[in-house]
Amino acid sequence: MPESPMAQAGEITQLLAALREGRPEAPDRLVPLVYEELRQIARAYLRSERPDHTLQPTELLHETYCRLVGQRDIDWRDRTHFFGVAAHLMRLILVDHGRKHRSEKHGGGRTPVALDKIQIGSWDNFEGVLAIDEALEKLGQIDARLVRVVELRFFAELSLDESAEVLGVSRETVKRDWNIARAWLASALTLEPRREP
Amino acid sequence: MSPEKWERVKALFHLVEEASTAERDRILEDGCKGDDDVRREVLRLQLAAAPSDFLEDRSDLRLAVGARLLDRFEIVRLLGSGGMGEVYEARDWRLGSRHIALKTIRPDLARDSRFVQRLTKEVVLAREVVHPNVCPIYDLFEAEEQGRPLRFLTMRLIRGETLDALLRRRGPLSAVEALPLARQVCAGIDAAHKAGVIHGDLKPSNVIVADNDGVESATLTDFGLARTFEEGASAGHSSLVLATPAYAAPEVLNRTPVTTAADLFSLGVILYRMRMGGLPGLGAAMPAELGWRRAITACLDQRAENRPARASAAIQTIEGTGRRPPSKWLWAAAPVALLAAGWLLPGRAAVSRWLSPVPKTRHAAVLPFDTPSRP
Ligand SMILES: Nc1ncnc2c1ncn2[C@@H]1O[C@H](COP(=O)(O)OP(=O)(O)O)[C@@H](O)[C@H]1O
Ligand SMILES: [Mg+2]
Repeated sequence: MPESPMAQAGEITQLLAALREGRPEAPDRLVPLVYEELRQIARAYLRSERPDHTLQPTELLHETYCRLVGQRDIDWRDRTHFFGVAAHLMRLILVDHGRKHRSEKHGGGRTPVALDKIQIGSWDNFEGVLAIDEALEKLGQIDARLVRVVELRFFAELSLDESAEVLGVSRETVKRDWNIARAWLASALTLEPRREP
Repeated sequence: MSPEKWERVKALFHLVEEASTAERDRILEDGCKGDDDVRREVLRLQLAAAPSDFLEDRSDLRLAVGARLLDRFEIVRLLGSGGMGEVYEARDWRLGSRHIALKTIRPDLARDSRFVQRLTKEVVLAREVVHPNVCPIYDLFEAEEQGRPLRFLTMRLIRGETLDALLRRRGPLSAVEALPLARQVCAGIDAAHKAGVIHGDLKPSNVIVADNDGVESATLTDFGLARTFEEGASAGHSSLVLATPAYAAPEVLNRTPVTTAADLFSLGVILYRMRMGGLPGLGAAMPAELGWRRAITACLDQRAENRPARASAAIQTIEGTGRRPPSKWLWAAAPVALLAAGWLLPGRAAVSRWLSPVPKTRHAAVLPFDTPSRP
C-alpha cells in the first residue's frame, strides 16, 4: 500500500528541511519519491492537453510539488530546494521524451540543430534538448558542478537567484559558472574537437 | 586537461569576459603564463561565447513585480507564459490605475522587424472585433527595460480561470454545464470571423472563464496573434508555427493556407474536451447526446470545406435545432486506415464511426491530435 498523502506530505516537508540544512542523506531519500510522482504527472500531461509538444518543466515541477507537499503553505525556499532536487529528474524525463519523439518522427535519425534555437523554455526543440544532454554528458567528465548549474538553469528553469539558493553560493558565482558552461556547451555543439597531431 | 588547468581556464575566462575589449589580449597573455593549453582553451570558449541567442537568459528578462514601463505600467504579477512571451497583470497609471493584462514579446521575435510588422497588422485587425466574448486588445508598445528593448501589447484583464485550468480542476462538464460556455465561445468566434479575423490558436487556455455569482462568462483571448507566426512560416522565413498541435486543424499543421474553418476544427477539439476531459481520437468515447456528437464530428472533419461554416451552426446542432449533417460525416468507415497507423486510445470504449472520412493518401493528416505520426 502506498503511504497516505498526508503522511507523505509530512515526510517530504521534513526531507526538504533536512535538505536546507545540508544533511547529506536528504536527496537520496527524496529522489525516488519525487521521480515517481513527476513521471506520473508528466504522463498525464502528455495524455491530455498538448500531447507531443510543450512539456513545461516549471508547470510540471510546480504541480508535483503541490501534489506532494500540499497546496497549503508554499514556502518559496522549500519549493526552490525541491526544484533543485528535481532538476536532474526533469532532465531524464525531457530527454526520454525527446528520444521517443526522435525515434518515432525521424526513424531514429538526427536532424541538425541551430544553436540560437536552443533556448531555455524551447521544449518543443527536441533535438536541441538531446544535444544539450549529450554535451552535458561530456562536460560531466570535466566539471560536475557546471553540469549541476545547467540542470538547474536549463532543465528546471530556475533563475540565477533561485539556483544560488539551491547551491548555497552567491548569485555572482552561479552567474560565472553559467557563463562558462554556456560557452563550453556552445563550443562543444559547434566547433569540431580539434585533433592534435 | 588536468583539473588544475581547467580551474585556471575558468578563472581566466571570467577575467577576460569582464575586461574591456582593449585589455583582453593583455589579460589573456598575462593570465596564461605561457601555458598554450590554457590560452587555447580560453580563446576557444570566448569564441563560442560570442553574443548569440544560445541559451539566452530569459528568466532574467522576466519583469519584476513593481517594475514600471514607460513611466506608465506597473507590473503587479506574472499571470502565465506561452509561446510568444509572458503575460502580466499590470496597472495603467495613466488611465486611473486600471488593471490590465500586459503581454511581452520574446526578444528574438521582437528583434525581427518582419514579425513586428505582421503583428502590428494583426493587432490593427483584431481591434476591429468588439464583442463581449472577445478580449479587447488595447495597444502595442515599445519600451526599454534594463538597457534592452522590450515590446509588449496590452489588453483587457479578464479575471477568472482559463478553460484549461477549469477542466483540469472540475473534470468533464455535463451537457447542461457545458452548453452556456460553448455558446459564448461560438459567439466570440463568429464575431471575429465576421470582422475577417482568424484566431489560429484556439484552445482552452485561450478561453478565460469568469464566474459572476454563479453565472459563468467565457472570453476568447489572443485573436489574430498566432497568425503572425504562421505567415512567417509560409514565407519561408521562420520555422515557427505557434499553433498548439493538439487543437490545430490538419491544414494548419500542413502549412497550407488557413481559413476560418481552421478555427472551427479547434472548436471541435475544445467542445470534445469540455465534455470528455481529454482529447478526441479513434476509439475515444463520445458524449452521450446525439447533438454534441454530431457537432463535434462535423467540426473535426479533416476537410475544411466539410466543417460548419459558422460556429453558431455547431450550437444549433448541439441543441438539435440545426440541419442534420450529411450522413457521410457520421457513418463513413475510416477506421481501417487509422488502425493501420497503429493508433488507439487505451482503455476506452471503441466508438470509432464518428470519425470523418480519411483522405486516402495521408494517414498523417488524420491524426492531428496524435503523438507523432508515421510517414
Ligand atoms: N487578457 C488576459 N487576462 C487575464 N489573464 C490572461 C490574459 N491573457 C492571458 N492570460 C493568462 O496568461 C497565460 C499565458 O497566456 P499566453 O501567453 O497567451 O499563453 P497560452 O495562451 O498558451 O496559455 C494564460 O494561460 C492565462 O492564464
Ligand atoms: Mg493565450
